[in-house]
Amino acid sequence: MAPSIASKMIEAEGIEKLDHLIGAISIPPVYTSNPTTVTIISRSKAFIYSGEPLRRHLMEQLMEQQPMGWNPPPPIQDIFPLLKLPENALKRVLELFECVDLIDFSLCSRSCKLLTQTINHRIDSIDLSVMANNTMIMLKSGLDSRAIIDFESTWPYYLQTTFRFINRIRILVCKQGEIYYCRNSIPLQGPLTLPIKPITDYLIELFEAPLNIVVIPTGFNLRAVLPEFIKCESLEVAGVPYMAPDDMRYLFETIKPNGRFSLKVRNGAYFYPPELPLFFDVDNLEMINTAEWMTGEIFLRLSCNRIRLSYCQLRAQDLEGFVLQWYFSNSTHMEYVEVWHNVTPGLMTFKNCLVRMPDNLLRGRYYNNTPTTYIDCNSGLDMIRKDGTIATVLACTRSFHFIIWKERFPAYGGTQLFLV
Amino acid sequence: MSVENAPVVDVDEAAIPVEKKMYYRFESNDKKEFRVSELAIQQSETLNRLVEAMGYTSEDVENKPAIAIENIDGKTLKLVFQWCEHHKGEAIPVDDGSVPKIVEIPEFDAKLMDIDNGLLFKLIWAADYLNIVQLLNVSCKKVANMAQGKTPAQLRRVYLLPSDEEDEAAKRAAQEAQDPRAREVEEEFEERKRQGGNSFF
Repeated sequence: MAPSIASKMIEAEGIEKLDHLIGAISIPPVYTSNPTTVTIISRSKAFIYSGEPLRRHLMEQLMEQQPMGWNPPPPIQDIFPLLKLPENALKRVLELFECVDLIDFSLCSRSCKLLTQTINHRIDSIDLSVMANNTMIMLKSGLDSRAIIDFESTWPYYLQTTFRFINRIRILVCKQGEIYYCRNSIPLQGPLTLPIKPITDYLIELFEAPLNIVVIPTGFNLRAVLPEFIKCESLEVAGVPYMAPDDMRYLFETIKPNGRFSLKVRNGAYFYPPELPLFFDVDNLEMINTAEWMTGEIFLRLSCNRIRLSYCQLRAQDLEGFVLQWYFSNSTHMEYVEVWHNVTPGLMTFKNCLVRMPDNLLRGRYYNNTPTTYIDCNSGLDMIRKDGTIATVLACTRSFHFIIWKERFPAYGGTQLFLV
Repeated sequence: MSVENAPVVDVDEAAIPVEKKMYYRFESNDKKEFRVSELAIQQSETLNRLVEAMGYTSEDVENKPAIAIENIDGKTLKLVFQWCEHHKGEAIPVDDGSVPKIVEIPEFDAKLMDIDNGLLFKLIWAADYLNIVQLLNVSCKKVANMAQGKTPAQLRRVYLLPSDEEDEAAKRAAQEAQDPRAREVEEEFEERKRQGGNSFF
């Protein structure tokens, strides 16, 4: 329809007659590629009208209908029909969104959420840190932080706050740069709660990335927080010197991360471990400064790829038994075991298996026991299993290391850890 | 040997091989013609392949009609070729998908894209059609920047994103338009279900 004809039509019909259309419009109703033309889209028809007065009238009408806090629609020249872009360009635009904007984009509708899930957003992990007064989620690409969801900091007073419905819960949100401040919108009776659970669930669903949790249990009850995050990729409890035996027992009997469990807190009193902790077969187990409870029975039943224990009271026969158990088995998952002694374990003889002096033609000399440190394995003893796998035992005064050479000559780096 | 005593050789200038720059001619869908250097064309994978396949010589370029680009208008094509000429010879980025994509908009590109959203929309379509990776990156980044700091409600308005209800209504309308009989069957099925029938068949 030509603008001139449209203008005549407006004159003939009168602007008031268009009011019935406004109720049917919930997205910005006006879109134009030509500043003198206005296109009104209702559910059934599209009307093309001309003239600035009509556009102004429609804007005013819409303004009046909106509840308090509603922002005026953007000027027509600021509207961009994103979904009309070719698929490749649309995905590229979304990949270039800031991460916090991508979260808000996914909240626009179900199709927007679906679209966000299909792009290569490059979020590799969701790191949740639970601690007093500084609980937050960091969305990461590799080691780089892409966004921070902050639950407790005070945000700058001049920033605008708005509500979001995330997993059907109304949450107060304020965005600034890469930070997404979140609060429960309804003041609750009793202690203040944080909307950690709904947001974490939403982010896991949206980015399909593993959840890594670090808990520093000061100022809150561990048993009140962790039940909400039973399923996670890794869990680290650290940052305080001691933990109550009840909390320890809770961790041992309830928590089972898929990949890594790291406990770096000592128990505050005498602690009786369960017969078999639930996490006995996680991929990566770390019990730093807290493994004095470890018994030979539990140690022999551990089925992890990598184990690091310290403050241990294991005896030589437990350690030797562990090695022999591997030697006479067909298991292929084991990679590395490190035990630091609290009490000297005694002499290991390995008389039931064939041990030999290290041969640097068969395997490398250095091995990364952690991502940042490596050890010299030439002072150890080698053994070759019937399937040809080579392992090395390093029995030092203060520590015991058992290396299975999955890769015979691995790359190494970092700082050398000198063993005595 | 002094300069005065040096042998003088007459040089036939025409015999010296001069590397001539080849300028291809393109025509937009509104019959506007553009001359673009060979090096600039390399920024566009589509055009580069096209001219390679055509195998034009310098004479062909002048004598044969301009290569028509049917899908793009003159205003958009002018922007595209301005961008290509400015960035000619630059390496074309390869996205391996492994690291977070970081795109910065250079000053020239920012000025070039200081245009209304309608033209920006056409520019992205053109960059996608002509497969100009870096132009697509910077233009998409400009669109992505529009989202900065906006709430979902504002994003809906800026990007014209339909709500769930509108999506469902559009889907229903599309289904009905595609197959009216299917709707009738569905209604009949619902009716029978209401009447307590166990099976439709």
